[in-house]
Formats: sequence, structure tokens, C-alpha cells
Amino acid sequence: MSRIRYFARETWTNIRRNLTLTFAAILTVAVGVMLVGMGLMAGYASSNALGRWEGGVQFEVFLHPQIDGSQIDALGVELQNHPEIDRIEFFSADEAYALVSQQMSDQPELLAQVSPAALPPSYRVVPRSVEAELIESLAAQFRQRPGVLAVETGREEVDAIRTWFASFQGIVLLLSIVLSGASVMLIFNSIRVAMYARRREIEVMKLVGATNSFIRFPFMLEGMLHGLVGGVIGAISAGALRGHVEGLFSRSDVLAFFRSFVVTSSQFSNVVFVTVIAGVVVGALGSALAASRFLDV
Amino acid sequence: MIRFDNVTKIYKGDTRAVDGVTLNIEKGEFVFLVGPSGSGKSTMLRLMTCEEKATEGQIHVAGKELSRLNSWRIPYLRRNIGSVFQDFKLLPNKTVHENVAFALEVIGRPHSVIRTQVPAILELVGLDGKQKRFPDELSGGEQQRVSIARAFVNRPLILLADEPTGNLDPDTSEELTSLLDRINRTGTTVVMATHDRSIVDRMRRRVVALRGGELIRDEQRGAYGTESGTSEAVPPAVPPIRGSAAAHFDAAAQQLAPRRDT
Repeated sequence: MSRIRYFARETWTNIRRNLTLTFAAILTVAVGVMLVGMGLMAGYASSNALGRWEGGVQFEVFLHPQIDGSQIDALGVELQNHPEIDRIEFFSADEAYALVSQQMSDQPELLAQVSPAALPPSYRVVPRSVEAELIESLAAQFRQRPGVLAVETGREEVDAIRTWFASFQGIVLLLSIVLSGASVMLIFNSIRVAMYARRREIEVMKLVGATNSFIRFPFMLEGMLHGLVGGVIGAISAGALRGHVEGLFSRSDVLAFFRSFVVTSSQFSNVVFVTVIAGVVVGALGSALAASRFLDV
Repeated sequence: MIRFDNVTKIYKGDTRAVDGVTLNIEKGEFVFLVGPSGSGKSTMLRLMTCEEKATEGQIHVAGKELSRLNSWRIPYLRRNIGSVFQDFKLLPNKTVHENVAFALEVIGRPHSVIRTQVPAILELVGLDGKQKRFPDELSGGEQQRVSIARAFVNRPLILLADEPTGNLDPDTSEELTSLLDRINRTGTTVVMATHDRSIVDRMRRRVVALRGGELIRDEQRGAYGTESGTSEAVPPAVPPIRGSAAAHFDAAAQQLAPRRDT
């Protein structure tokens, strides 16, 4: 009990004496771990959005609007019996119209120019494998069939989006590594200053036989506290950023495409967990380095 | 209690601070280490607390051979050794009570022990009523009493004092030495490095003289001596102060926490 009181008191004194450096260290940790959080969220968002494409429709065969029923059925049978194809789903012109009118609900004047008869019916095809080459070859086979208007694989778009997210994640990761390194150094420095300020106390402690771990503990605690506070601020910032970006996507029509790029709550709690832990690890690392270097008995 | 076997300490740059010293100090002895500046007195004390490692030879302190002591065991050795310095080494931002309590706190003593032990030791060293003062509100002699209280509060087996009277006037020095003498009479081994000729001559205790790192004289009931190392004629020893104050001290000292003999 007296030990806990001692550690709490010493840690608080250290922090109070050294406010500016403490503040700088905490902010750097916060920005660094916020970037870690952003990188994670970008990863989740892209896999959530692309997962919908990959797990569901792999390519869509659009038919001529004027195609007759027997041709539709024949093509359906052929698709269904193809050894590489898992399942198919028919999407009639009426259903296509329902979808379009839902998407254009806020632009009735545009919708008025669209009639169900002008829209192509389609087959949504899910192949057995998600390999890009296989999908491309299947698409090529059906593109030449009579009655087929077009075959859209979505593969290029998916690839483009994935590449974009990967490079975004790479940049964010790189920045977060740089900032985490800076945080470790700042915490290292602030702990060193704290130790220098208390060198007389440390001298007396060694003199009367305090163990190294006992002397180090308040300093370690201080560093981890910097990291923890930085981590929490970073997690809160990441949360605010998530809310802001999702708000932006849902309000803007230009960005409507990104609406599927969301991070679920359970994924976000992972993000919070990782950012806070990252902060504590950064703090522990910086203070452990300082404590082991400047406390040689 | 303390044994040096042919101990040599060479600092960087080939300075032989201690040169082939063999010395045996028994439990309960009071030993003066004398000699000019740079003769190796402080190095001898620092070797005993493991602040320095001997270059050659073996040192035994409180039953431990220091060269074979693991570094994590050093703090536990130091709990058996109280140290007092010329510059007191008090913490200026802590009160008298807090300075002494700090020594118990950092070795993990429970609060209940600190609450009873600290006032007792402060009364013992004659600082009753000054618990709430800060070091800069005290005289030099009082500050050194605080430092002695801090060194003794854990009832160490050994008390090392490095020029404890170096900054004090003769009367205060006398008082402090008799305080150390009374601590010695409770069974604590005291080793005091000093320049103070009058104290050494008056006390007539064991004197170990060093010069250039070598032990040049070791006398029971000795005197400070001359620079050449021989003991010159000194006035007869004054009997140590014994009286009701000293008896009170001894009784109070016994009531402190039991010594942890190792």
C-alpha cells in the first residue's frame, strides 16, 4: 500500500515538473498511433467494400433489351451448366428499373427519361474460383454470344481500388513508423530529463539500498502513462476521423461510390485496442531505454 | 565485519588509489581512517559499499565477498551499511521527517514502521520538534544529524562516515562525533574517514593511517599522527562521555526495529 502511494506520488511529481516535454511526447504519440489507426481502418474499409464484390457477384452478363425469352433461358442453361460456374442469378429489366429508380430517387426528372423496356436484363454470375484470369476468360467466352450486350467483370475497378488502398496504407504505415520512432525518442528524452532532475534522490536511493527496479519503476510508469494518454487521444482522433469521413461519403453524391467503404463497430474496437496498446508499447520502450541507460548502479 | 585482503584499486589513468591494503575490522569496532587528501580514504569507503570494484584482492563486508556479489544483490548489501557524507546529501525539497522516512520508504518498509521509527530516531539524534523543518532551515550540525538519522534509521550493521565533520565548527564536530560514538556503543561498527586531528586525538580509538593508497599505520587507541605516519606524543585520552543522556540513548536505540543480522 505504501509502495503504491509512493509510486503514484513520484510519477505525478515527475509529470508536473516536466509539463512541456510531457505534452510534446504525448501529442507525438497521439499523432503516430492515430496514423496506425487510420492505416488499419483503411485496410478494413477496403476489404469490407471489395469483399462484397468478391464474395458475391464476380461478373455480370448484360443482355440486349430486345432479347426474347427462349434466348434468355438458353443462355441461362449454358451458364448454369458451365463447369467453372458456381451459381447464377437472373436480373430482369423490371428489377433493373427498380434498382435504378431507387438510386435516382432524388433526381425524378432524370428517372423520367428511363423506361424499363430500355434497360438490359442481366445474369449475375458467381464462378467457382476468384482467380482474375479465369474470370477474364469466362467473360471473354460469353462476350461473343448472340444476344449478349456486354460482360462486366469489375475486376479492373477492384484491382484499381485495391492498389489505391494498399499504397495509401503503405504511406500511412511509413508515417506511423517514423512518428512512433520520434515518440520513442521524445519519451526517452523526457524520462532522461526527469531522471536528471531527480539525480539527488536517485543517489540517496542507491545509497540506502533501494533496488534498481524500485528506482526505475516510477520512470517506467511515467513513460507508459505518456504512451497511454497519447494512445487514448490517438484513438479518439481516429474515431472522430472515421465519423467525419463516413458523414462525407453519405452526404456527397460524388463520393457515393465510397458508401460501401465503412468500418464496422467491432472492427473499430479492434482499431481502438491496437492504437492504445501501440501507445503504451511506444511509452514503455522509450522509458525502458532511458531507465536502463541512465541508471547504472 | 569488514576485511580487506591485499586490496588494490587502480582508477583509469593508472592512479593507484588503494595499494595492497590488508585490514580487518571486527564487529562493534570504531575505526578512524586518517591521511591527507588523495590518500585513498574515500576510495576505501566506496569499495566497502560496492560503489567501486577492487582491481585486485578480496573484500568481505558483512559476510559477503564483494567481487562475487551479483549486481542485483548490491542494494541488499547497502541496507546493512549506513552512509554519512561531508555534504550531508539531504533532499532540499523534503522535510527532516520526509528525508529520514524516504530511506525506509525506498527499501519498501511498511507505512506503520515508518510512522513509529522516524520520530524515534529523530528524538535519538536530538532533532525532536524539528521534523517539519526543511534542510536549509537548519544549522550544519543539525543537517548532519538528519543525515546520521537517515543512515541509522534502518539499524545497519555498519556505519560509514566520510569526513562528516568537514563542514562543521569544532564544537559541533565534537557533538557529532560523540553521537557516532553512542551509535557505536549500540553494537554498530563505525568507520569514519577524517582530517580532524583533535577528534581523533581525543577519542583514542583505533586509527588506520593511509598515504598514497598504502596502509602506513594501524593502531588500537591511536592518535592522528604526523605526516610521516608516526604517532606523536598526544595528551592522555579523555574518558568517553557516559551519563544519563548516553544511557537514555542506548535504551532508545535498542527499541528500534530489531537488527536483521545476515
